[in-house]
Amino acid sequence: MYFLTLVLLAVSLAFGIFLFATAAGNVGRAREENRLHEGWSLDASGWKSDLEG
Amino acid sequence: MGEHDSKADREDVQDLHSLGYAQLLLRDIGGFASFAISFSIISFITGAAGLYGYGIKMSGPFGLITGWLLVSIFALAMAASMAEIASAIPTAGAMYHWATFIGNRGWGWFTGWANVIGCYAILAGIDYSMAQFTAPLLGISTQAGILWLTAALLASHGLFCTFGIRLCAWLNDFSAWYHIALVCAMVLGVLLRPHAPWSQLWSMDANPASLTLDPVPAYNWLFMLGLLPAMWIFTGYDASAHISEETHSPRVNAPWGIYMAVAVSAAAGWLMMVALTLGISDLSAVLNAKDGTEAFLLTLSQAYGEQGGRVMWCLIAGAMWFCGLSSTVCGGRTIYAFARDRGMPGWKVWGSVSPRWRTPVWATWQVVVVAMLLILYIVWSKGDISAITATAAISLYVCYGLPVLLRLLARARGTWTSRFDGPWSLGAWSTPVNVVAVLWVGVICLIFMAPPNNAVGPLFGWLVGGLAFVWFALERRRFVGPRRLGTEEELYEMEHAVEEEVA
Repeated sequence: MYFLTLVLLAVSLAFGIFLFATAAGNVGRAREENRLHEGWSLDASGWKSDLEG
Repeated sequence: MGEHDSKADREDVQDLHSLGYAQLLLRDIGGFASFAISFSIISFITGAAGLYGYGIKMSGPFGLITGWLLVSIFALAMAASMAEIASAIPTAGAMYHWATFIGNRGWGWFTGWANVIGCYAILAGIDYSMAQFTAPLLGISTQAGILWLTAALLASHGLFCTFGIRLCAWLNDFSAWYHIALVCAMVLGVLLRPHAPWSQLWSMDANPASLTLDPVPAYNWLFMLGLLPAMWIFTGYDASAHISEETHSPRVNAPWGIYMAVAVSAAAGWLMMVALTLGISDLSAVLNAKDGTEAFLLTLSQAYGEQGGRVMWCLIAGAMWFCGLSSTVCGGRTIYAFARDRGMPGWKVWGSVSPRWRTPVWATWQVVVVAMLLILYIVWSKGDISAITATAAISLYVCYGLPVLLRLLARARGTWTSRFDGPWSLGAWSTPVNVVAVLWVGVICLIFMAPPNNAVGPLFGWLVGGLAFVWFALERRRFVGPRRLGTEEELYEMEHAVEEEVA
């Protein structure tokens, strides 16, 4: 039981840090490439409600 | 454009225009405030007050301590998956918009209502729990007194949320530090004094029979049921997405707010659970307490002494108030964004913004009043508030999981490509993390509906069935979904009009 708790503690810490580092890396790259305001938009996606005329 | 002076502000406004909306809410909060609101709603201290006793009775210290870590791993996957979409589509509608844009307006409408209903019930659960928790401190012992106290708490939240996002953001920031300071006090208060041996953390002693669990299942299943407190606590972190239109650089700050709120809560919450459990000097007395609340109060008095436990009781009540405040902020934005797109009757009123305070005042008071009516109905019908709040928690998790699932499917079909991703992205790891998050929602739904929570499954079934009926019978032909409020020039004119009214 003691071992299971330690394993889960290590996994949760490692997973949390991994996700943090991955996202931080991608945000950093976006900042360097001046893409901080890019993402989904109505124009880029061409989204329109099927009831809208 | 007085409000849009800096280049960054102008870019934020143009970004919102690209999603079809005008900058009517005041964009005035930064990254820490975005984190603070989600952190305050998760409020693991509030959750512990209501659920620590339930958890320790159900699966003992081992289930509580180890289960928290297990839930944290999946909560991180869920938060990261939502953060990615918040970065791609940063609007106040959050999951409702995500489900609409990635899926279709039907999924969006369903998600919007499930989110709104979840907001009502979560706020009702938080403020009613706080009233029950603080009533003995104030010498209130009658049901009527608790109801009046609940009404006063809800009214105080409504009032603070009315007077502008600046005040709420300041209070949310304070709340985040308050939670951290309180956890430090709780941990040091136990560790610096004689406490139970560390082996108590792995004790499997429990008392599930006291939780109307008959027959008592094997420990493996008790362990799963003991995950409920942590599952319940890790909700509400969508708040950072709901205040996207009031956040600077929302494509970066909103996702960080979501992710960091869960990550910090996971770490600080675990430390708090460990400290409280080590503080228990007589485990059998806690396990045999009348109910979960009594078990928690007994834990406090054993961990910090009679006087210290009473001080902690008061401080925890403060944390609960902040949690209710953040929930009210979030609920108001959720309703505002859905009504702005004509998603609910009376949308003109609920989708309006006060020119004076630049807040969705009517939407805020709607969530406050409906939460109070819900509590009155439950008390009047002698219903089970825990079944209602559990149903709300499932609704929220479905809201979280649905856009993630829709994005996975859209990615598989090729209708969602990496050019739609925002700057906060998991890149190649996105798909596996998203799959884990969606599966986790399924597990949560099963556990929430399992005995002894027999009422939750049918209640959730009625909710889904009712929404499906209304959609196919009425709303499918009426509800258009999100719409561009105007051309670029018209959006600027709307913003000018609001700013002139303010001036």
